[in-house]
Amino acid sequence: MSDITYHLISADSHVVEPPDVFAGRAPAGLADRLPKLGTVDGGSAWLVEGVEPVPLEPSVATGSGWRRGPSPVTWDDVLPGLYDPAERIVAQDSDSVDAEILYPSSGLWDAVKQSDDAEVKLACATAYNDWLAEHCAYDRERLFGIAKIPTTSVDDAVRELQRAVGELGLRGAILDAFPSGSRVGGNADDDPFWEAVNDLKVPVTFHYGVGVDAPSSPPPGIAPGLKPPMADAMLPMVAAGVFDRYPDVKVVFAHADAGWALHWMEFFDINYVRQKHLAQYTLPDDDAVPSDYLRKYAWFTVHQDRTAVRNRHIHGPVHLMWGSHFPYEDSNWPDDRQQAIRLTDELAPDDRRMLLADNVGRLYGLPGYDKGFTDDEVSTFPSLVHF
Amino acid sequence: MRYKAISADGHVNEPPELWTKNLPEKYRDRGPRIIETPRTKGHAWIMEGQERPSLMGFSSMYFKSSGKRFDRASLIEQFKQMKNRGVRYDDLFPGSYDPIERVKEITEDKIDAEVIFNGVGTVWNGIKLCQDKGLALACYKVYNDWMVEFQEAAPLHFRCNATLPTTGLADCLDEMRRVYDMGLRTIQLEAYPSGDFANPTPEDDAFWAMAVEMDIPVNVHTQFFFPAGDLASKITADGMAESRNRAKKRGIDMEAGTFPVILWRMMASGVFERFPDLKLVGSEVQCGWLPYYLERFDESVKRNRADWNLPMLPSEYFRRNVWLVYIEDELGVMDRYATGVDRIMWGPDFPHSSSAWPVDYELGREILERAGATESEIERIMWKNCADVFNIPYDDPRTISTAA
Repeated sequence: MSDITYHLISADSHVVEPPDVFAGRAPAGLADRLPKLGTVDGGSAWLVEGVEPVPLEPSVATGSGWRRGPSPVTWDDVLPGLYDPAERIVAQDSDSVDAEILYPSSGLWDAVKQSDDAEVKLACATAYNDWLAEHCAYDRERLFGIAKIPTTSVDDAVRELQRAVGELGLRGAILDAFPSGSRVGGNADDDPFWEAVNDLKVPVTFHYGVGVDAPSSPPPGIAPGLKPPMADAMLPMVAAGVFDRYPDVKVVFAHADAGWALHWMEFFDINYVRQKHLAQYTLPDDDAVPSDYLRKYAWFTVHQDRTAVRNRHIHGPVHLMWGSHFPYEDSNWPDDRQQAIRLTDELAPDDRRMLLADNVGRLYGLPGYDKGFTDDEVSTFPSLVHF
Repeated sequence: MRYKAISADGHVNEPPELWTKNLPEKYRDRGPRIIETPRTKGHAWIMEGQERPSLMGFSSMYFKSSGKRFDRASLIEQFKQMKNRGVRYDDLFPGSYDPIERVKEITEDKIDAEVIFNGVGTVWNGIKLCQDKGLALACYKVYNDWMVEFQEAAPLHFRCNATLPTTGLADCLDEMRRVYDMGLRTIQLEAYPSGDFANPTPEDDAFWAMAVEMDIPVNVHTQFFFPAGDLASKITADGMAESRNRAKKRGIDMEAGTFPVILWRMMASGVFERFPDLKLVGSEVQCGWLPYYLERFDESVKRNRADWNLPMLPSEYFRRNVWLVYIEDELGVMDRYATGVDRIMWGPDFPHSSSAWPVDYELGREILERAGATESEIERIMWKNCADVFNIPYDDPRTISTAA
């Protein structure tokens, strides 16, 4: 029985992989083919063979783009809390955060998935998961890791998912690209992967983009809130009946907020209803619409998104989870609590607790959150189309 | 009587012989014409330079629903019967190309007036991509001459958009002057004024200045490029990816031509700062996406102040210079205060298959009422914002409403 009471859990935080994350955890013969942290133009950058160097994000030195730090940034500038678990706990305390769901960094893995070297890609994924499990073992009440799923084959993906969850105790999985290599979700070749997910009952994340060429985080700088590249990943899965066959699959749309998804869902519903004559896809229930699935089976991390908070009844209030985005440009470390409270300042205390702790706790079965969600809770949302 | 309903978004389907009859002699055989597709016996537009014809798709047309309420079941039934044959001009509402018939059709729909746009994907993909600038320009002029006629046939009921040429700034300016002199008071852009399909450039400023001087609203209808073929079939991820690839092969960045990106680039390059009186209308862009769009935009500016050389926030420019037109968009209507009641216009998109003829007005009201809109909000969204932006006169007492 857990003694910890969670007030604020970040559903979307990141690590920065240390330079030795792969070396020593991969087969000896691969040593000189593994990605290395080198120096490019005065700053540290990951060097993946055959791919452009990936400099470290500037905000890894300050934890937030609201404060300017050194540029370019070297490994020595990186906040220790991003790679050292004891320092991570200190960083959480500074931030008034009780726990974090930990995702890999973005640029490194965007490069790795572009590599032609399948052995290296697989070795990197398993090495990372080993490192992450060690990292999170430091504090099993505050550090929760999301496993990297190899993009090399469906078999590799299934095997590593089972190992990462069953043996290493990681809490979820991130898909950089569909394991079959398909551009779109719902490809029948991916079914064994979804079957494994269905058995293990861990949430699977699309993090901003999914696909070999898709970026996994938004570019820094000035930009409006647009639909992320991963927006269209789920509808083909719905159309292919993935959620009908594997109803315990849950998808997390991470690092892209949820305000963009409101209009997107209504648009799909309207088109589905109006264009039924084209019968592009059918749903088992004649009265069903795509947003029934897009809402029931999807969770969204939200950060700067008052639009989604204001409209939370549309997604269904259990489906939104606050995330700090630490240490990305739009993070507010060490004042993420301030940001979270401002974001939810119009909510009643119970509603606020859901968004800031309980929803993510229940989704991942964190200590003290044993019961998960009832079918009613995940399916409670209004109709979007009324004709 | 007052205006009760002005649609900010209606479409024509261009008459089959519009260009074959009206282009200058030397262009006649090379310009747009209608052909019959061999297998499905439907109609399609084709002109010189097009690899494949542009089909008259389901999006161009709509069936009369049975009964007074929007009857989804019967609509689907009728579509199913049509499924395996191509859409022909005989299937279309005659008001697609005949203004007198159009007045009857919108009256039955309980709409008093319409802002008229071109037939989008069908003939326009060919014209916009035409490599011969002389031929392309001639096509735009023929269309705009017809728009003048269309409007003159029933000036109380139509505000017709001229479609401005994408052949370069000089042509764009000349044509706007020419259509203005002939009586048109609104225009739609199919590219930036310079002819660029992706980015605004300093040379565009001459155009924005002229639009402001003439008090002409600048309309972008959804996006600069429509995927070829039936719009309805492109909503799958595969369909969208295929369209993007085909566009990429021709050097077209489809994403750059979508309204959210156009708005971003115009704002960030200072167009609204230099032209505070410019009116930009996003036609048929819906409005549910806007609150999150502006929220992130503003926040990213505040976080990167040194990189934003403009005195106002994106949301401030939006509230001064931009309007959005929606078809149904229940969520956008529910969240209307985040966008601004005075920024939103209703436009049922008749006769495209997104419309609900002949109950567009009722459906429009129903959506607003369900969202808790007051009578004042309903009136502004369903006619007054449009009348103000498009300079459609109404006086007190308001005397124009021909609908029952």
